Amino acid sequence: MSNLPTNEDEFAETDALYRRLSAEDPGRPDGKVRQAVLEHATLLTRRSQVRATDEYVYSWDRPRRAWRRPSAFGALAASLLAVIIFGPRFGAHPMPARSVPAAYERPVSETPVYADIGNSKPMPMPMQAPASVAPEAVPQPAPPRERHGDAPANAVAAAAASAGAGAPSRAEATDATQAIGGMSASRAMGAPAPMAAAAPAAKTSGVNVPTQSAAAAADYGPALRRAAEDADLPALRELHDKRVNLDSRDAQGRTALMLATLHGHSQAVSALLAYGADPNLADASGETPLDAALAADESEIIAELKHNGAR
Amino acid sequence: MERYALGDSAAFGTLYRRHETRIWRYLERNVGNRATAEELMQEVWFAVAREAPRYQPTARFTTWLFTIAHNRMVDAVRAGQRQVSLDALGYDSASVIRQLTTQPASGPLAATLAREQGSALARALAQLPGEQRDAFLLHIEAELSVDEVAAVTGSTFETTKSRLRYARSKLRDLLSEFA
Repeated sequence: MSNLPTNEDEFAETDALYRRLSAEDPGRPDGKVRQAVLEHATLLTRRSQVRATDEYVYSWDRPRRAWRRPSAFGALAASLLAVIIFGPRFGAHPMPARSVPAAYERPVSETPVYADIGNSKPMPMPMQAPASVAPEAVPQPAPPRERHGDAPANAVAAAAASAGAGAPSRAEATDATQAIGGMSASRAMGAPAPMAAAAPAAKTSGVNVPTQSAAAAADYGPALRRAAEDADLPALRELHDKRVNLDSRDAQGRTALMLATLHGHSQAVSALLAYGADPNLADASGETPLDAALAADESEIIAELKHNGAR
Repeated sequence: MERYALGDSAAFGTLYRRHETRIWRYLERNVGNRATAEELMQEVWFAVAREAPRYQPTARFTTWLFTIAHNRMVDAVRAGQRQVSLDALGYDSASVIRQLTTQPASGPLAATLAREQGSALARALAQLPGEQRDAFLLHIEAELSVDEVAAVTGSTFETTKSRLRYARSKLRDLLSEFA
């Protein structure tokens, strides 16, 4: 420490000398260094501006999404309220008017009537159904084919037979069908035994799906098709568990898969196909689910149908 | 710096030109090798550009800038990148001093002599221990106070002050011919 200068003036002189010599030093980094640094800085600026633009877009989109959520809940609540109020009335009809494209709506009188037997091909039926035979109420001479999901031949017919009425008249069949559709109303009014046997089949919400013993005497076709129309996946699953006939048809020859396709319910379509529904069953006019999906340009359903062998 | 962080790339150019020389001298005179210094120069300014969005003006920009430069330089030295190339320049400090005192400071020869003078200055700095040289360059080139140099180098105030005194004392002897 003895040689350590203590005079600050000497240090100031040294600093000044260094600064003078340093100022005369022309040494500078290469121009390429400056160019590289400035280009890099410009690049980073552009990237941050792009990110800022993205964030702006997202921030613009965010209020829209925030607006969609309450509106979606509102629409859902309104739909639920409408179903609660008007559901029983529409449920009294076997096939209430829905938002099915007009091309698929055909007069009942011009369409053949199919029994709910689960045939893979449409049965050629007379254009005008006999007055004494109602849809869903055709007694079957032969037992249904051994296919997964086959249900008892006809619940209404069985119910009528058990009531000792012989062949059901049109009025009786209509009453029974209405009882199937409007199950809650019939229950509330204390439905008689035959109706009570058929009523659980119409319960599509999955709350009161009949037991296996009841299933033996019930027709789940309408319930299945309503579940397909409403995309009621839990009900579809429960009906599948009851081994119902997945390919049963309505008065216009439409299967549950066809109805799910017509209503654009891709999840219901996927579920039905997964459960084993036949993707190639045409309706009374010869239209297959794939035709309907193509006409409606439902790409997701088209892909799902093709994946499961639809032609 | 704040203008650049907001997207004004021209502001970065201004910033670079304002501090280019001082950062360059600090790096080149510490590592003693032009190529390494140029690499470090790029790394330092790349880091400045990258960290700009997170820059908080709690301290002087110069302190922040030279902290980055110091850390990069230390990393390079530790990685063995430091190459003392002063000897490779082939200059003899005595001959340089002699020329400086006898030749006029104008014309092409003056420019050559200035380069040689700079080399002599670099040679004098190269004879200092690394910590003293670093502290001295931070104090002189970056114009940092003793406190700031201590903060940048991670040393105590007394240690930094001692390093500065030793560095100045030795430089005074080495550059006495220029006085």
